[in-house]
Amino acid sequence: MAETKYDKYIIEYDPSRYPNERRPVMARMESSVMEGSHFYLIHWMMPNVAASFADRPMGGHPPHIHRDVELLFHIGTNPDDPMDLGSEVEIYLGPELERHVFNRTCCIYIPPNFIHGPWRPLNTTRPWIFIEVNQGGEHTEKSYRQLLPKEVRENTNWAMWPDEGYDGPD
Amino acid sequence: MAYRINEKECLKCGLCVTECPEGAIVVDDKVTEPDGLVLFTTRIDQDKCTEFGTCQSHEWWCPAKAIEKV
Repeated sequence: MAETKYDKYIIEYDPSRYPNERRPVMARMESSVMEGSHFYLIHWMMPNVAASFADRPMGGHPPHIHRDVELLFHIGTNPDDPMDLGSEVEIYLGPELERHVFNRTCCIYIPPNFIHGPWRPLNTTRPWIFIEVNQGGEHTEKSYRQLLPKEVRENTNWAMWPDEGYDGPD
Repeated sequence: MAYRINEKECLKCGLCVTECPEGAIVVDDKVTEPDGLVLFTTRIDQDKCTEFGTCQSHEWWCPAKAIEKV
């Protein structure tokens, strides 16, 4: 196809940019893809993902913060009931690790530096769509593994959850 | 009036040390856990603190809400 003036604004996900990505990603935008863009990540959540978390209490994405506001959209795909998420999802909020479980289409608002996680789907009966928005150009993250029970910390592969965009004091 | 770090609430993440615009929060001790996590014991240097209140300017400046006015 001949290149046109505005081709550059039609952007398809390029998996070669993210060799460590394990999720079925449909789209990812950030300032390194298009200058001025905030961070967006959209991927499917399949029933087998929930199954992989089922026997891991407090497993999933460990407690962490971001520098910018984050929006976590959980979007169901039931055409007869768009508010039916088709899944039961668990998330812990705040340094107190306040536990929440929900099964409806929703958006979770995460203020800057607000501790959230672990996050995990407990069960999934229908594939649904997860949309993560960070209101900054690049993804930032800092883990708070000190909040987790010892056995969970020991059984977590921390290489999967590197800190990004936060410098330590030393 | 002064600001201080509530040690019972502090998660020892060290974020305040890098975020304080006055450089008024300092590391007193540093411990590395077996899994590599580094924990920082910090305090507010009252000689450097301007009491401008940046550390309380938004709800989650400190993720543990461990900085308090006394």
